[in-house]
Amino acid sequence: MKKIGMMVFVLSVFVSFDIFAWGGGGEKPITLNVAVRDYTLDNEPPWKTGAAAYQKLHPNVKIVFEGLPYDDMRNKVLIAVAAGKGPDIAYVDCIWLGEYASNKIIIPVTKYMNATPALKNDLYSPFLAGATWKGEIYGPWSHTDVRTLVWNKDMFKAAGLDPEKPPTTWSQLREYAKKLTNPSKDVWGFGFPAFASEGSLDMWYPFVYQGGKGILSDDFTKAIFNQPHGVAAMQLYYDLMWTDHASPTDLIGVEEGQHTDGFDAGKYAMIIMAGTNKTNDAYADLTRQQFEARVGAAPYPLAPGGKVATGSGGWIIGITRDAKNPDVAWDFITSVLKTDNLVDFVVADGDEATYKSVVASPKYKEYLPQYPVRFGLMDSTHFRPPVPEYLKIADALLNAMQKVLTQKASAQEALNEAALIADSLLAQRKW
Amino acid sequence: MGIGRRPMVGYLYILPLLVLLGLLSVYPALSVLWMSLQSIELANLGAAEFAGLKNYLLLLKSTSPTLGEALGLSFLFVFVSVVFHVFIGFSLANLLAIPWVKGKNAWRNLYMISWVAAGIVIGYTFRFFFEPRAGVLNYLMRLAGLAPRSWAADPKLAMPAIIIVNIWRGVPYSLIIETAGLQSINTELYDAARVDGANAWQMLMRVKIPIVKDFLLLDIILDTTDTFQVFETILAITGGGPLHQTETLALYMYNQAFRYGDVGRGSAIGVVLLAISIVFAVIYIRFFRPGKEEL
Repeated sequence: MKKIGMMVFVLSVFVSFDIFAWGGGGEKPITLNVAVRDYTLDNEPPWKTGAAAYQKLHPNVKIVFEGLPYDDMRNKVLIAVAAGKGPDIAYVDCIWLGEYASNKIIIPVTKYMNATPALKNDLYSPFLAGATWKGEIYGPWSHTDVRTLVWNKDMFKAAGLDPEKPPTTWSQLREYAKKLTNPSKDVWGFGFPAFASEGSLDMWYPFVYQGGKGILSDDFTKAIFNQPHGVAAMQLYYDLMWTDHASPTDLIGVEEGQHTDGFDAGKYAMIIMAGTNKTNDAYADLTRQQFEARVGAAPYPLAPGGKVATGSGGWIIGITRDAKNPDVAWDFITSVLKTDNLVDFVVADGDEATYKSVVASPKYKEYLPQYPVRFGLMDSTHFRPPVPEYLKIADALLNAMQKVLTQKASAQEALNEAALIADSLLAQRKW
Repeated sequence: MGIGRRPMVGYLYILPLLVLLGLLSVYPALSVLWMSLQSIELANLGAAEFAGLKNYLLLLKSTSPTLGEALGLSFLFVFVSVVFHVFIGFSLANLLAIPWVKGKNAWRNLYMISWVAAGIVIGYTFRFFFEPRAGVLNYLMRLAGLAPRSWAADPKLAMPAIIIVNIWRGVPYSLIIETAGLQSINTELYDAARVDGANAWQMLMRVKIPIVKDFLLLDIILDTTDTFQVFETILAITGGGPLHQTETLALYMYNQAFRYGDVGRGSAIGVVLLAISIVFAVIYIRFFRPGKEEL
């Protein structure tokens, strides 16, 4: 039981002996412990520059950062908060919001947001909604990555398609994908991730949202992804793979990120992309203009009678229940989120902004590839259901997707089965 | 007066080790057992409630995968892995025992690379190795004129693929144990067998294997308990898919406890794994109990 024993041991020790501590702040001087994603500390902005500026004004406040990889960002914070030794400030993936909020891992910041209208009003409204759980706002956003259809313009030209005219409907998507496919060269019209990880669903959801409905009912008590809008979206993937043979049947082994690599390598002519791939190695030497000459971005092609929709992920900045000085924590956060500092951060890191003032800044416009498309989608973005049960529901949905793509079940059958599981999970909700 | 007449002094000498063992082995095992009887979530560790056997009942009712499916996959994964580990490890140990083979230590060190590398690193390395478009394996297959395969995507190929990776990873462990076994053989036995006219096959079957059989058994038992716990490599290569076809018990436990935050149910799965390990430990103790014939 070496590995399991050690995992349990570590968990137990953290809980039992409280040695997993970020320290905690005293009265004076004040220490703010800030747990953020590791890569946000690779550049000076926003945190290091934000801290330096803040400490100039408040020399009594010591700010200690800890950069964490994705899984630790959740597990470590949850365990530490359970032990009463959590950080004061922590990044929260928007899909964890319900879990964190309903378990009071983070505190509502509605009163702070209302007292800071400049910040609150600066957020695009979907993002403000995306940080809200049961009527309370749980934090401002750090950054995001909007999903778009991207295409390889050279491959479009080679297939006799206009490189400046991407497909705008599902039928066009299928038609273009077929034209772009050449199985003998292992080149495919449309690539999407279908690996057993949640990122695969994340790329697919906007096709569902186009039907005007979401994944769960508005009150998050029932699955609705098995209704016609969801079935049609799943059928689209099936048709691309099995009817049109424009997507390879091995996509179940391809994770988000790998499908991007395949696109960069010229194996997929079109994919769904989270954020921009301008920062990928394949385009490292290109200027923005050169990149845009090779890669196009557009909203998801539309379902018949559907409306424009996309999805976003990203990070909310939460204040944990262990924060000894939430007022100071909030003050520091707002200091970091100053427009110039955020512009420098997203530009340096290759991210996308959630604040109107950042999006409007000339430096951001100059940096962000396919700016008009991405800017235009900010108000059409959706988020994954923030319920605590989401990851379990996603597991059932992933299984449904893989069943459909391996021809084990029809889209309707597979989604109905997943909906039963989702409904059962939601029926047991405690929030 | 020696220690033999003051047994308490002897216990004092081993006390630090006992404390360490208790802290690192007994305490976690009891903790996981206790947590399996609680309704406890990662996001709410401080508010655990006693739930009796609820987690076990939920485990029995689980459908995706069922406990039986996860157990079946685990046994398949472990059985095939261990058979190949022991066979290849023993074969390599014999090859490296041949007197004229040069650079034996270098070869052994080379083999150890796969054993000392972190499972997650190996997993990600092989994920790219198996990647259908840009993966090395399909590239080599195309060069050889073979059709590329969907290694991690095909429900029929995914489990063989992770077993192959695990075999590659685990062979060095068997190699070390079998090497120790072969080195324990008095070379005069070989000479005596040769004088009696034994050929290589007879030497293997009637001299080597009877003598190293305890090492083989030790290898099988330790490797079995260890292989039951492999999850990080599978997590990286297939994520448990496709269609849960590679979701072994260990990965199932990890997913429940850390991915979905259901620590109670994850602990219940941990207890099942613990029970399996105990069964093998009992077998081990039965075969290696004091008083058994020594080499």
